[in-house]
Parts: sequence; C-alpha cells; structure tokens
Amino acid sequence: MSALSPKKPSISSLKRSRRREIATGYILLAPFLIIAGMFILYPILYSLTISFREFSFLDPAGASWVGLSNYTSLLKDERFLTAMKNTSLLVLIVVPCQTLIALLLANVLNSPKLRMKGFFRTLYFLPYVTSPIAVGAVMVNLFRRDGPVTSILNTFGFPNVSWHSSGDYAFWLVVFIIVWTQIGFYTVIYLGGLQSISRDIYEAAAIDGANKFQILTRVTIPLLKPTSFLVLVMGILATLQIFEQPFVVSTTGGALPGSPGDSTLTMVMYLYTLAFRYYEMGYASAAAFIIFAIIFTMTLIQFAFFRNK
Amino acid sequence: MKKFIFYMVLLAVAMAMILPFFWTLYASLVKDDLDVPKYPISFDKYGIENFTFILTRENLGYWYRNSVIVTLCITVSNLLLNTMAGYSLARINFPGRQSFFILTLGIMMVPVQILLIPIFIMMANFGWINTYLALIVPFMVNPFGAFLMRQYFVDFPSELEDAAKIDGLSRIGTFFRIAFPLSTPALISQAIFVFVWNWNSFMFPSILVTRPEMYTLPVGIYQITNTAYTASITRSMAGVVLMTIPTIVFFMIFQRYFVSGIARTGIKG
Repeated sequence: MSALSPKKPSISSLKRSRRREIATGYILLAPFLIIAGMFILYPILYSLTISFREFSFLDPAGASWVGLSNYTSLLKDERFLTAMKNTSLLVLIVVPCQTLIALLLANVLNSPKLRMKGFFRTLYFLPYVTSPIAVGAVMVNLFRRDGPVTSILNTFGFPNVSWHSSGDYAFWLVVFIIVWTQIGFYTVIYLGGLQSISRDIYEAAAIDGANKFQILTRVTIPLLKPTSFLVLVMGILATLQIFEQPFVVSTTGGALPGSPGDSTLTMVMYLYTLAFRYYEMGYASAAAFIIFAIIFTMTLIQFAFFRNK
Repeated sequence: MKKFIFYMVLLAVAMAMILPFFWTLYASLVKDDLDVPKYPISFDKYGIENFTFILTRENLGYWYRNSVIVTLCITVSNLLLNTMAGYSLARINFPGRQSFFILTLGIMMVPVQILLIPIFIMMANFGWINTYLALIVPFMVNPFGAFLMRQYFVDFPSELEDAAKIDGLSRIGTFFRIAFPLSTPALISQAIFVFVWNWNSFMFPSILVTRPEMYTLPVGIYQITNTAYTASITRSMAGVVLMTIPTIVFFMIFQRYFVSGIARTGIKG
C-alpha cells in the first residue's frame, strides 16, 4: 500500500466505487423490472395455468384442472375456426393491398420535383393517430344506407345497404377501414427506405438507358427489399391482432361481436367475447395462448431479420 | 404531364384520407339526423346543439378528465422508468445486465391480448376495478420504450459522463442531470407513441372500469356511438369530434417528430 502515492485512489476506494456502480445499475433498473415482472411476466404464467383449468370468473372456487381439454375443444370449436379463417383472410387481403399502395405512394412522394410533400405526408398519417373507435364509428355512418359513400357506390351498381349489418359487405368494410388507417404509417416507413437509396444509383441507371419503369422494377424495388420485409411482417402482426375496428363495426346498434353471422369475428374478438361476455376465463386463456403462439412465431421471424441487419 | 398525374394521385389519396374527417364535422353540426343525407343549404338546420347535448347529458366531462389523468400519469411514468432502465442497460456495467436485456427483448414480443384476462383478474382481486389504479399501474412501463432508450444511450458520448464524474456528480446524478436532459429526441419519440397508444386505448379500459363516470374517452364514445338506445348519428359524430380534436392538435404540433420517430423505431428496430 505504501508504494501507492496518496493521490491515486486506493484499492478499497476503487472497490467501493465499483460496488456503487453496480448498485446504481440495479437501482435504475429496479422500478422497470418490478412493474414489468408484476404486470407482464407474472400474468403470462398465471394465464398459462388457468388455460389448463375450467375457470369461470363468476365461480372461481369451482375451478378444476382439465389438462389440455380447453385446447383440444378450441380446435374443434367452430366459432374459433371461423375467427381464425376470418383473421387469415384479413391478413391475406389487407397486407398485400396496403403494402402495394404504400409502396406506390412513397415512390410518388419521393420524386424530386414535387412540392408540398410534407403536407401530403401529414395528411396520410392522420388516420393512423386517430382512435380506431372513432374511425370505426365514422366509417359505419359513411357506409350506412343512404350514407355518402353508399350513395356514390349505388350509382356504380352497388346496393343501397348498411354495410356494417350486411352479411356480404361487413367484412369488406373492415378491410377498407384497416387499409385506410394503416396506409400512411407504411408510406412513411417506405419513404425512410427510399431516402436511404443513393441518388448516384438512379443516375447510373439513367445513363445506362433504363426507363422510369425499369428503374422502379429493377432498381428501386430490389433495393427496398429490407423495408418491404419490415412492412410485410409489421402488417401481418398488426392484422393478426386486429380487434377494435371489427368490434365497433359489428356491435353497431348493440349487435353481437362478429355479427352479422360471425362474418367479422376475429381471433382476438372471440377471445374478448369468451372472457368478458361469457366469463369463460380458462377457455379464453387457451385461445389467448393459441393466438400468442401464432404471433410469437411471426415476431421471432421479425427479430431474426433485425439480427441479420 | 408526369407531374400532373403524380399530383392527381396524391390529391386523390389526400381526399380519401381527409373527407371522412370533414364529413364527421359536417354531421356533428346538423341538428336533425334525418337531414344528414340531404346536405341542407339553410343555416337554421345547423347548430351546436349536439355538442351541448353530449357535454351536458353524457358524462363527457368525466371521460375527458379520466383520459387526461390516465394518459398523463402513464406517459410521465413511462418516460422516467423506461429511460432509467434503458440507461442502466446501456451504460452501467453490472452482473446480469445481458440477461436483463434479453429479458426485455423477450417481453417485447408478448402480444398485449394475452395479458387481458390475467390483468383483469388481478385488478379484480386487488379491488382496483373502477379506480385510476387499474387504468394506470399495469401500464407504467413498456419494454419497447426501455429498448428504444437503451439503443439511444449505447451511442451516448462517454466524455460527457467522465466530465460529470470529474465535477463530482454521482452516477445517479449524472443520469438525471446530464443523460436524461440530453436524450430529448428519443424522449419525444417515446412520449409520442406512449401518448397515442394510451389516449386511444380501448381494450383494457373497456374491461377495467364499469361505472360510466370512470370511463375513458374511447370507452365512453363507444357507448355513445354503439348502443342502440342513444344511437343518434349527429350526436355520435359530435362525440367523435370532441374526442379526436386533442389527438389531431397533438399530432400537428409534433408531426415532424412522428416521422423521425418512425425512422428511429421502425427502421432501427
């Protein structure tokens, strides 16, 4: 110890400051960890346990262990299968539509000589920040019998019906609402991707004699592949979890969620209905875990993708 | 010519985006439901009666107050706690840091629907149903926010921390006096997303409160627009207008941060 000059920190004070550093790390992290543990981690485990039980919230004392039977009956439950079919259809229709429109719009917005780009970008983004409950309520009225959109479509031969209560059209109303809401968000993501492409590449392509269409299909779209992947995965995840928009549309006027005739029933809506209309918490938890498994797989793919970047 | 077509495309989409908002404003000002499809010209068909009706007869004042209190508490708490966690995970070397970071990534992948039932049962067991506690406490932190801040602080210049240390600031002091104020861009993008998510949140509030005075705006507006006995188009639209104005104002103020926030969160992951 005597060899150390008094100005240098002693070993014990170094140890003390290291200990203080470790303590600070835990102190700053602790509130986050405790709350996340209580309200995210613990609930997942709790939910997993009740998914193996016959658990009604109205009669928690009568809960009994039923093993995997909630899961097996779900896979035979026609309403759940309908919900899965509707949700998959939504994904298959909504995601390609919104991705193509967003790609197109972003390319138009990114062309160099246009004015008021910021104005258009702001407008396109507005639906995304508006409450889905408000959007749903407005759209139901726009597509009501004698409503403004229905009247216009009527001149093109569509029937004058309220879309939200029509077995043929309610699903398409939901499709329209989701696409309308999401376009702006994905357009902005595509714009980010486009701005990261160097102008030099376009100039080189133009010098080589490529026309605008060739530049779009041979240069821009291949270079946007990572962005497109992101937009597709995010779109699939968001649509798999869709709840508010079809819920508002189907329950207009006090109708049952998913009506007419389960044509707008989605997986999350069925889970919500099971749990909070019928209080079948065990059965609903099993449904939640099946949905979880599907979404988790998609998210893992997304994370693997970010790793590679 | 090409420019003209581009402007037409942009304008057509802009109309599709903005006309529903204008129609909502129009319908909210029409006095009689039956006049809505007629687009009357005379001024005496219009008025603010729908707004006064909604503001006086429904509990809209309560819903506004509840939404403001709940969203503000959640946003402040998220900004503070997520940022503390993000800083700790990025800058402080302590045993277990890597595992805690992986844990944070792990819970980021959890879809919220899985929490719906257990959170409801927990809140019921705590006796918190119909209280602000149920609407606030489970949502006070967000792993996405912590991840965002961690990514921001990883690139934070360590010279600033060293300078603070030489000036005699403790590690916690360094965080609150130096790092936290200097992370404003990341804080704003975090604040925007937390604010919008929670202001518009419907699924959780719709099960955690049952008394009309405790509803938040989305739950209250849903009751106005969707229950059979009060379903008046004009009044519903007045409610929608009142609920949407704060988000639109907030968005207009912060819109350039929205875009940079998406660039930061969406693209960087």
